[in-house]
Amino acid sequence: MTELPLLLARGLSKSYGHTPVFSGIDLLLRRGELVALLGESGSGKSTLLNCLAGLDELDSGSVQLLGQQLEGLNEGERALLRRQQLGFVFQAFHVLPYLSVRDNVALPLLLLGRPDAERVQAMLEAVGLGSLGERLPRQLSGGQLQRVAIARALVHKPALVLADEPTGNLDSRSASAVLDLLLAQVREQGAACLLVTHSERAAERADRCLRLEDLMGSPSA
Amino acid sequence: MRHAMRLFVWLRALSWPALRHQAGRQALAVLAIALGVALSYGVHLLNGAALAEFGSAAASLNGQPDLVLRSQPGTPLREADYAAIANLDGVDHASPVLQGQAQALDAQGRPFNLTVLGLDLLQAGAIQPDLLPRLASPLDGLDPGRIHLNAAALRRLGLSEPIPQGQVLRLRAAAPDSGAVQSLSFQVAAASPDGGPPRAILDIAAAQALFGRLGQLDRVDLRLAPGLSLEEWRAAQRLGPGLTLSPPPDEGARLGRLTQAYRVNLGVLSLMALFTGSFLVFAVLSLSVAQRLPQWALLGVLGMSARERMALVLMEGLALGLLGSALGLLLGWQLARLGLQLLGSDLGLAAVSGMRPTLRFSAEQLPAAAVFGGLGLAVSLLSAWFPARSVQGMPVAQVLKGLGQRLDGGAPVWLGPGLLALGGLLALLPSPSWPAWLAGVPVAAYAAMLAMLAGGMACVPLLLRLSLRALAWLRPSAGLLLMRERARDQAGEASRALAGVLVALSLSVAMLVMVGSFRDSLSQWLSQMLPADLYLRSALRGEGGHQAPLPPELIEAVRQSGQVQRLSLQRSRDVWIDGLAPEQELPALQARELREQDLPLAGPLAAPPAGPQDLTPIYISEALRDSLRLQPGQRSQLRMSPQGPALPVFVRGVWRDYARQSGALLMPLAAYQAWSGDRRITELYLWLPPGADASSRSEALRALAAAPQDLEIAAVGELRSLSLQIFDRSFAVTVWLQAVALAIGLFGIAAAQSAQALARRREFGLLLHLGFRRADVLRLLGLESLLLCGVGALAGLGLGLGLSAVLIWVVNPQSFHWSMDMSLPIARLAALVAAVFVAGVLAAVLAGRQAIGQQAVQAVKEDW
Repeated sequence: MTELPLLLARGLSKSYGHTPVFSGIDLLLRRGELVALLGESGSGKSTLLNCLAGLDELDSGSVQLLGQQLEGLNEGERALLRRQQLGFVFQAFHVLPYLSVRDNVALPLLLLGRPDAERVQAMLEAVGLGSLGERLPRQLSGGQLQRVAIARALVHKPALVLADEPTGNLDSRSASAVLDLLLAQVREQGAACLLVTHSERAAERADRCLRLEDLMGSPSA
Repeated sequence: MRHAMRLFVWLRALSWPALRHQAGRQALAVLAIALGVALSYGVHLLNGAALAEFGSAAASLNGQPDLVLRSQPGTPLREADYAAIANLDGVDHASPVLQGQAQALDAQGRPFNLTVLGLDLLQAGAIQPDLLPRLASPLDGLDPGRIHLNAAALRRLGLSEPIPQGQVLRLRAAAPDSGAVQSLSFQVAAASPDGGPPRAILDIAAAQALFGRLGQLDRVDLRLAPGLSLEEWRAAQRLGPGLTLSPPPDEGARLGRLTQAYRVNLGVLSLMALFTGSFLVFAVLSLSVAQRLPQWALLGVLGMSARERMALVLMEGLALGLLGSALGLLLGWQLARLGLQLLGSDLGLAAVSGMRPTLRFSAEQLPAAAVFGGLGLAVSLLSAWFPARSVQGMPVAQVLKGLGQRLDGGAPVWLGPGLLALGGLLALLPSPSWPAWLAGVPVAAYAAMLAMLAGGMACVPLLLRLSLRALAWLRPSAGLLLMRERARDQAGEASRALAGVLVALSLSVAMLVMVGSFRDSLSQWLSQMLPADLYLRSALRGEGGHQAPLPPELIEAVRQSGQVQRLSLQRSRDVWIDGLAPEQELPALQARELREQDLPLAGPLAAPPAGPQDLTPIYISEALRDSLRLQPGQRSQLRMSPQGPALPVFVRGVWRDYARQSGALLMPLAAYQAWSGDRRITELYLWLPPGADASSRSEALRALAAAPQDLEIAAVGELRSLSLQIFDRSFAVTVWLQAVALAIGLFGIAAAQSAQALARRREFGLLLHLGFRRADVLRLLGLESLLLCGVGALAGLGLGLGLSAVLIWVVNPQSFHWSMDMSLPIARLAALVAAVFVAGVLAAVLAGRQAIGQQAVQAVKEDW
């Protein structure tokens, strides 16, 4: 029996006004797979992630996530799908400055209406922040902040983590440690991960490495 | 200088593009300053124009004498005295004057009061040139059959120049002592150029005949020969008994003193909009700074010093202030012109309501314009000070990391309650004896209100945190967690966002409660002071401007007519009381049949002081109590003239008198008549049989008079509704000032929330990534603003009630010498608070809708 792909995108095109961002993108991701997506700055990698997450509207093409066609879902259904099945890690951390580290990590569980303090603590310990749960983000370093973001991305056991240049704001040592942690956690939680990066070294750590320009018009399954 | 130039260049290069980007909010801040400056400057101009007009009218009326000869009250000034002083060496001109009130019929046949000046036109030309008509021949001025009316009087009569030949005016007047009515006709001659309220000029002999005061004068205006020393000449004169020689009174200054409390209170009220506006400016600048935190941090990294960053923010505030103040001064001028055209200005006194002041630009107005413009600038700079300080002290590296910083200055928790307590203490301070220019200004009470307002604002973070505790029992959810933690973290910011609306709402609540309480107290007072069904008095004026006495035969006819069930008599006149200062107005005495239980008493009654003497009880008004510092139980003496026989009295009680600010006293009619021998009656209180029609009875009573037009008869309902109408009209301006302040406050909350929502786009974007729907984000914003506006509305209500207590129990008694009972207009208060609450929540949600468009998703990508 053929396993249903986790994510199947076909013919994705997007432009802002008359400026094309990308066109004819095809992409396939299997469950538990780690895929790196390489591309130059400004090539549309982040926009592609937003489109895959149903946050940005496509000009054309279709996205199937866990068997559901995103085009057929309304805003509420897309939000629910993100809430349950997706985790995000951003280049600029994006933690809420007024929530404690613990509350930042707990946020996805609260959104799902199933608060779980033990799971939150377990994730904090998994990312090495077990004793810093009560701190505020302003009291943490950049590397620590990205660990918070990783814990938050995985705490609700999503099927897919979308990581957008997660080490872009970090020094090389921290970047390496954070990447190790992200990949290890993704594997441990059994999630798939689409890692957008412009670092060849980071991309080498993935199961597969794709270049955005190669995806245009050529299926990458 | 180089530093200033550099700042200016930075302002243009760095701040201007950012401010232009938020043009709407900056324009709002400029408008808030402009409105605040315009209202306060406009009110100042209105009052100033009215005072100047009155001063100039008084100067025209009084002329420019060097000295004025008068007799002491109770001693008549005779023509012989005039002849004696006119013949003294050193007197160049002596002009006799007699003044009184006469009744005329207007163009519609309705009676109205006309001030009549009796002058010797041949003499008056040298002293009162502004009053004199243009006469074809000087001898025309000696014709006792001619009357010269000013423009206001001609208007009332429906006449205009040139006056038709043979136009006759009939005047009726009562003799001040006997009340005997004279009715004389005059030929309307050349008009007087006097620009004041309706006035007429007669030859002095005709005026004496009209007022039944043959051979009597009110004063003689003197002009001395040039080069004489006024003081030396005056000291050298030996005057007859009871005569005084003094410089002319400064009527403008007198009116200034009389209306000081009104003008100061209106001025303070008009500053309310500027005060509220300052919080809007504060909110706009704070949020503008907050939005540009990364920019400030970057500038810091690039080498702009902390002091320079602070100076740049202050420059932004200064620029807003300059624009707002300039606009405000122009707007204030136009507002004052419009106000004078539409409403006139009576300085809160019906006595000067006939004036039509005009506004003319002169160099004398520049200092006031500088003061009010400077106030706008100061408010802007002060509003910019706190955000400027926060930019100065910001941790540059942390902000660049995108972790923001608290703009909260971290005011200690005790500050709010401490300031509230300080306000309470200041309000309780006894009223000290201020210098004359501050008399009637409740300085400590205003300081108390300021402390309470600041304390109320400082309490917002505390209240917010307390209300968060109250939410702790709710089931945890992501929205609740976000709302709670953000509110906890940003409590200081909430205080800034709420400041404007909190001040405006609390002041509006305070004014609503004060005006409502005053109106209720006035209504209650009217019920007590007007117990009868009908009130009858003469339409003619007698001594001291009081109503002329009623003919005894009319009183008897009313008693015998069968039209009334019961009748009560009153005598009104001025009276002397011990302790009265020379410049003080005489208190009005109302002697009538008193029933203590019906009096509007402002405190308990006192027993007569122990002693052998039999003392007559009197009831003094609050104004008289305060000016004489007389308390219930204390003794005093009444006199009918300064040298007349004294009546020993004791203060039995203090009553509320909302009709006069100059003081009044009540005493039993029988005691007055026994003391004075004066049997004249000036007012009748009439009770009708049950079911009788007031209108037909009043017509029947009017028919009893020999001259029905000389009577004024009013039903209790008419008097009540007229009084309440006057009250509502007097306070209409305060309602408008409140509305403007409240609108500015609401603009403030809308601006703050809108800026907040925009500043939080990245946060909203992240929430959308995490699985929030746009509706969830909107709900979150709604929840936050419900909490914020709920706390603001409750704090505003509580603070407003506290402020109203200061207004009712301290400001009004000290400024206007009247007390009132506090009553809460619950429905209107609820409507006001609910309106502000709903408007605040709507403003926040609408601002949020704008902020969570597609840009929110894009904002997550923004890399500072």
